[in-house]
Amino acid sequence: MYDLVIDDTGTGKLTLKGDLTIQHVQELKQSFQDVASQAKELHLKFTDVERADLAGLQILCTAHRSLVKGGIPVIIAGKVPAALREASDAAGFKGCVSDDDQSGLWTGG
Amino acid sequence: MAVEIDTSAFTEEAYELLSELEDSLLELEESPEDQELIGRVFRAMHTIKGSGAMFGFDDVAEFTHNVETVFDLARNGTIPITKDLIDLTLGARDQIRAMLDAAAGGNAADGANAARIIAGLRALTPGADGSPPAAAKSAAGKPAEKEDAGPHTFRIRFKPHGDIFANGTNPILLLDELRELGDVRLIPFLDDLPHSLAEIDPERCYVSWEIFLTTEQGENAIQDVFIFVEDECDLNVRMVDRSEALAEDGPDKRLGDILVERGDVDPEVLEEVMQPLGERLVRSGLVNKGKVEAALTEQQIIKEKRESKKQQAAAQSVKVPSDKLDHLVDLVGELVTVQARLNQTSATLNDHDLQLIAEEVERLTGELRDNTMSIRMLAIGSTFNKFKRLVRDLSKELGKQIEMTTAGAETELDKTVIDQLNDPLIHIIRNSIDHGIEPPDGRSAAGKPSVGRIHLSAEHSGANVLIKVTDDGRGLDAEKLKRKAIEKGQLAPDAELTDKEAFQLIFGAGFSTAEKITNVSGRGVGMDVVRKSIDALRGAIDVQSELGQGTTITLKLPLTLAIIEGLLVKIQSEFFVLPLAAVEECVELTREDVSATHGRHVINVRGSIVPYIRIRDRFEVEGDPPEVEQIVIAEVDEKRVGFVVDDVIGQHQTVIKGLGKTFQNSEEFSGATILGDGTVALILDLQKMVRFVEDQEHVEAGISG
Amino acid sequence: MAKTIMTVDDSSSVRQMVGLTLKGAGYNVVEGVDGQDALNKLKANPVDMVITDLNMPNMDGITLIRELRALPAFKFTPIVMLTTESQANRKADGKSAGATGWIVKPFKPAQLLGVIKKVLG
Repeated sequence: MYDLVIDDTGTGKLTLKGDLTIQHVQELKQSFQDVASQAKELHLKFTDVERADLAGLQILCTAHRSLVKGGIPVIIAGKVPAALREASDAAGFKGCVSDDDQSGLWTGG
Repeated sequence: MAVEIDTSAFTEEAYELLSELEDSLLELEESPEDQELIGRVFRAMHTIKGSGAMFGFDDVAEFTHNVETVFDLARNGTIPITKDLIDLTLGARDQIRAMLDAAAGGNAADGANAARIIAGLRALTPGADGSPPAAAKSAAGKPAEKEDAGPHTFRIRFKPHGDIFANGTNPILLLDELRELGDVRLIPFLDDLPHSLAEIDPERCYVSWEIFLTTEQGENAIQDVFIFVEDECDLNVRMVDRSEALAEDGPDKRLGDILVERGDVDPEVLEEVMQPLGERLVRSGLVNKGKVEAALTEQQIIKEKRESKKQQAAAQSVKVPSDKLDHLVDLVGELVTVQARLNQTSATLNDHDLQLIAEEVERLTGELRDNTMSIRMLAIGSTFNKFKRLVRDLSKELGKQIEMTTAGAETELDKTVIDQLNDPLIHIIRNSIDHGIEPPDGRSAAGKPSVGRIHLSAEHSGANVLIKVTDDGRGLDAEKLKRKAIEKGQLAPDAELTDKEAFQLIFGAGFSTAEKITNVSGRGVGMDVVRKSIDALRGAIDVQSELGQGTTITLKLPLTLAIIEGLLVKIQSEFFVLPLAAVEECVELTREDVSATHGRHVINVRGSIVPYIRIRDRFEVEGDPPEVEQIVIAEVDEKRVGFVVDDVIGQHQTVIKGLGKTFQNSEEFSGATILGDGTVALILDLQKMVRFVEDQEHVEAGISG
Repeated sequence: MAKTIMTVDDSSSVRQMVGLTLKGAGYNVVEGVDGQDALNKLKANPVDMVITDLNMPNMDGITLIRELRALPAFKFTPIVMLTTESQANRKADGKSAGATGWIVKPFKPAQLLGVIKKVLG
């Protein structure tokens, strides 16, 4: 469900696909932990996400907080698909709470 | 696609619910405060109404609806549970039964009786003026919910339990369903969401919401949305725009009143801190920001509904994610360190202009620091208040009489510490109530007052906060604890333990001395959880107990992230910091002074004899003391004690850094700090030092006096 | 992508009624005639949601729910039980076995769809 490539400059490119849902949050957590341990910067791509639920939003939010706190900038690459945007709106997440409005996870891209 | 309607399923269920309803009502008469019972009564009626409508029992549904509407007021605390209310509800239950019997071919139910019951119930509702609008309307055959013309706004607090995902629930869909009922505003609470990947269990739910729903529908429609998750969430639904709040001539609901009504703040507390309320409450740590924010939303909605043209002068609070605050505190910590360096440098350079700037920076840093810390600090009082209810409920359940007193409710602690203190304190208090305090007859037999006492207190002690739970119960039996531990194989049979060590056994996993297992405690879980939680906070637990007299459990918690004012002192080339709050004065100690007391460690300070501790000796600092040493006189455990150092450098703002494992056992240090030039200074825990010396040397000269 | 729902009931009329309602609302439907049959089929082909009766031969609904919850693929899948039982304890059994919710029989198609919307979206 995810595709992680880390190049030799330490830039991690993580592409999330399909379902960002409870069934996949453990893999998702693992992928972010791989990023935390191996990358210096993360380019996160949501384009192929088809579904998202609360558990998916939670792990994204924690991953974002955790990575940024650990000095790994998170850059949203490409468009945030409607499925993800709708889920975050439905849950009332206005921008990622750990960040300001400009670089919030949901408002980016 | 017609499905045959089998009404027997409904009548069977309804009969069962009615007998359950009767049981619950009778129990409720005994304990009218029991929310659980009130909920059960309400649900039984709700189900009868709902299924009744589905199976074509419209008369039953409508009658039940009217009863339920009144009972709902009792459920949300608007009207009390009185004998009248119970009598009438029991009458209603019989009436429903009669209606069902009638439908099954029995005698027709007495319609006049139904009207009498409804009228009686209406008379119990606030604003009932004896006129029969309700009865008239119900006679017109319209459910009461729709009579209150126009939409209403409800405040819904929805806190899914952590394991809610495990049965396939997707809470977002419930929010979507609410949106179908009307206009929704959501405030998500993400405070519990871990900030680190290592800590999150991604299959648990950490989010909760406060939802404002403006809808034409009644409260039951909202309850129905959550019907599948009743046991997997905390849910509180309340109408926030009752007619009295919307009265044209009434003033806007005050923020304080809303907070009190919502149960977020104690009315007495409110008295103390009038105006400007939102800021004051937050600043004094009595209410957290999110709560004030949500109350503000509530206030705002009421306002909008009144179409008030008046604009509020300014927003009274801003919601800030707590990790932003953490970051701010870190930055301030760094700033304080840099500022100390600036002071030192400007003093060394002896540049007047630079010193002026340094002083200005010092002042600003101080204010910034105080402000920042106060944002994160909350008074522990609100937590204490919660326990009053716990004590009351538990003592009732166990047939004990217990009075709880508190002290130090204003003691401030870092918010994260307070949050994590809740569970351990609940366990400790439960334990005191269950195992500690004897039943009234047992107490009388032991010559104690029949009412037991639990005292909950908080106080600052250097860089720590001490939270004590004291009971005057039966105390811990060290021998019994040892026997039990040996029995369980947790202790070698020949182990030699002091009483104090034996008391620590209660924190072992699966340890319980309760002879019988009660609902309250005694399952052997709990106290080990307490220790784990306190360890996680880098705190310590101390147990003191006297058999037959009572037990005191003391939690010593660090003020995490705290910055304290310290007095920086020097011995040889070592630096130490003494908490300034305890320091009273500094006096000189000459060789003559020492010989005048014949080597006894006391000094005469303006006529009073003060014992002192030589830090040099205590920590075996190499080298010779100077001709004239300095004694820092501090108040420790309400006594004056001197601490001898070579030199007093001056006041020093200190960012406390935790000590590594190496120093974990050196109790006399409460932390370390980094000075402007990068040197490390250890922060002394004066209490611990004094106690240590008392124990070690039995310092003669009256530390006890 | 249409979501797939399995309906499990030993009564063919109920399966038919549920199936028609679901297909009408755009869902794919697969059927199981009892708990055992459903479990075998679901192990091979996971679905997005399960609607199951409680009283069935071979394997009852409560057992089916418990068995499904033990499978990684069904750990978080919405499972709704159909019940005519005189409520409280059967509902509680179902909930503790891991059911997401319930529908009381007999029910109207709109009610069924309402519950599906609540748990599946």
